[in-house]
Amino acid sequence: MNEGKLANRGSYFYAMVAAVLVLLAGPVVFGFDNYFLHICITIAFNVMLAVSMWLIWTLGLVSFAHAGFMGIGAYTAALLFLNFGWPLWFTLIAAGIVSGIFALVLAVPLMRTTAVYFFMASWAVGEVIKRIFAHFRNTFGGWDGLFNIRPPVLHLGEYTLNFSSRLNYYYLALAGCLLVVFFVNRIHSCRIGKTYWSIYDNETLAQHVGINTRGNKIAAFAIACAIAGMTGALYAHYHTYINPKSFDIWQSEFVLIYMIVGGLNTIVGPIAGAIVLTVLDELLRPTEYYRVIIFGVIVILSVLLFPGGLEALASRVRKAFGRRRHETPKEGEAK
Amino acid sequence: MTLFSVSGLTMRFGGVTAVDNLSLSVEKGEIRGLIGPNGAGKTTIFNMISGVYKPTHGQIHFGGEDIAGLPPYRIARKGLIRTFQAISVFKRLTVMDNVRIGSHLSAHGGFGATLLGRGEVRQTEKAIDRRAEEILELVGLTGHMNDEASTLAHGHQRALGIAVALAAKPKMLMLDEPCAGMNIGERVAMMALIKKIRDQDVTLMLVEHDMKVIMAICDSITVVSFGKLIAEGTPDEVRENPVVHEAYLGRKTDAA
Repeated sequence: MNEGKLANRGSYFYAMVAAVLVLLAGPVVFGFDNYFLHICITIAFNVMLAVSMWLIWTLGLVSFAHAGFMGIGAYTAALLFLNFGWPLWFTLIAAGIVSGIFALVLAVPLMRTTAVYFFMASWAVGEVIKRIFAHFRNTFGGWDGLFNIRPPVLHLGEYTLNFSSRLNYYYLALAGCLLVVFFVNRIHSCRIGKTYWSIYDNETLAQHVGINTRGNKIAAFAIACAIAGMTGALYAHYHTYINPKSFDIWQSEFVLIYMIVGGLNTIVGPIAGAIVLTVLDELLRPTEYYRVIIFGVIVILSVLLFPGGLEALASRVRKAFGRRRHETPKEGEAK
Repeated sequence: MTLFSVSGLTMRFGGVTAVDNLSLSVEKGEIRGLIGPNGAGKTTIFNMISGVYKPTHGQIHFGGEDIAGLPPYRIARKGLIRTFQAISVFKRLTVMDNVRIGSHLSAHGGFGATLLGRGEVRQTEKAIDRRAEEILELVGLTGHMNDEASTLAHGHQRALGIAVALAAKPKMLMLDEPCAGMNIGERVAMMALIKKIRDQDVTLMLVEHDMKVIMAICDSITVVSFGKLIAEGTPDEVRENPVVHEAYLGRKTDAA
């Protein structure tokens, strides 16, 4: 059994390496055009959001303020760039710190609530964040937002790397995305992640074996929001223009939908959901205002047809085949 | 040596006094039974001791410290661990992971060190695994190590609940109706397990409705009724005590 586990871990590793290589080489080999690269970059942002929101979910919470914290990061980056000329490298870190601190402070009262009350409270937080951006015209530019947040240029000796090129920004977003996925996966797979799941599973019992459940929730929330904030900084420097509407409840809801459609039990779920639905969203673009309705129908259908989400698809297929061919149920079951 | 004591413990919910001026003390190494008719306040007492409720009045001393009103996780960290009346395990985790979470307090290493999987963290995690295996052997779940907790039989889930509590290295363990809903075989196994736990230098306090269990394993028994302490003593003394009979069965009415 141990051997099976090892072999499986090995194959996971190779699959990961292969995926990363494809992501790295793909655009060059296939010569993606700018539109295609734009979608890939959007996917990277959405994966970062979905994965960080999933980190909050592993404690049994769904935060509708996630896009709001992305907004805090984006506005932090924008203001630092526009007022002080900081390049992305510094605004990225500042964005993470600022939204992390806001999240930490807000989490103290937020984590007094549970379940549906937490949804409502986080909803309010998200909405208030957006309204604050819209209200203070002098600082945040009101509903019009902020302009001219340029991507960075990196001087490496004689060689200059300009990130206003889509291809370069794609690699930047990809690097950020991979780091976030790796980081969250690491949390999930070590003892800290187990602690989070135990809180999700039975908070009372977790408290009574000595786990500071509230402290863990606050920490996880702050980490996830810091990631969202950094995503916001990458978003701002990419689009060069931000306005409050980019960070409203809708955006949080889309991220939640990525998670639900993708599956909630492993990190594969939010990743798969973000990829599939971002592509789908692009395909649905011609339908304009019906987009949201079609999205809703897809969510309902996916819950009905794929309980457990896209992540469970592989094992379901395997099970179906395993049943047909009687010989290999053991392999299918080994984790 | 007194390990644990409460004095003047009172809990009021609005106008209802659930526990009224209760005092008791538990010696190190004993098995203490806490009994009383339904609604006597036994679970309320457990909830106050373990930090679920903050007592209205009174002190709770454990190992020389006043722990009244501390949050549950801080009380657990002092080595006072409880189990719950209903089955209470981490249902979605495996049996082994359940016990690992129970060992949470033994796992040192900060957030960063744990994330990086540094050497000493790995060492303690290995030690935790070894201890978890020992505990699972003690409660008789070795064969189910990799099963998801929700798939276990009732008796096994109860045993797992105790295993999780044991993993937290209790100095004193409070069991809330460990034998509820068990058949005779499971009960006998549970009694043997409780004695084995005592032999590992753990002081025990248990609430139980099954008098046979209480009488067979407890060193001393505290009886409460309507939130008040009405009797205390060895099983034999309590069995003979007319006040206890009255509390359970009602008073003989001469007037009739």
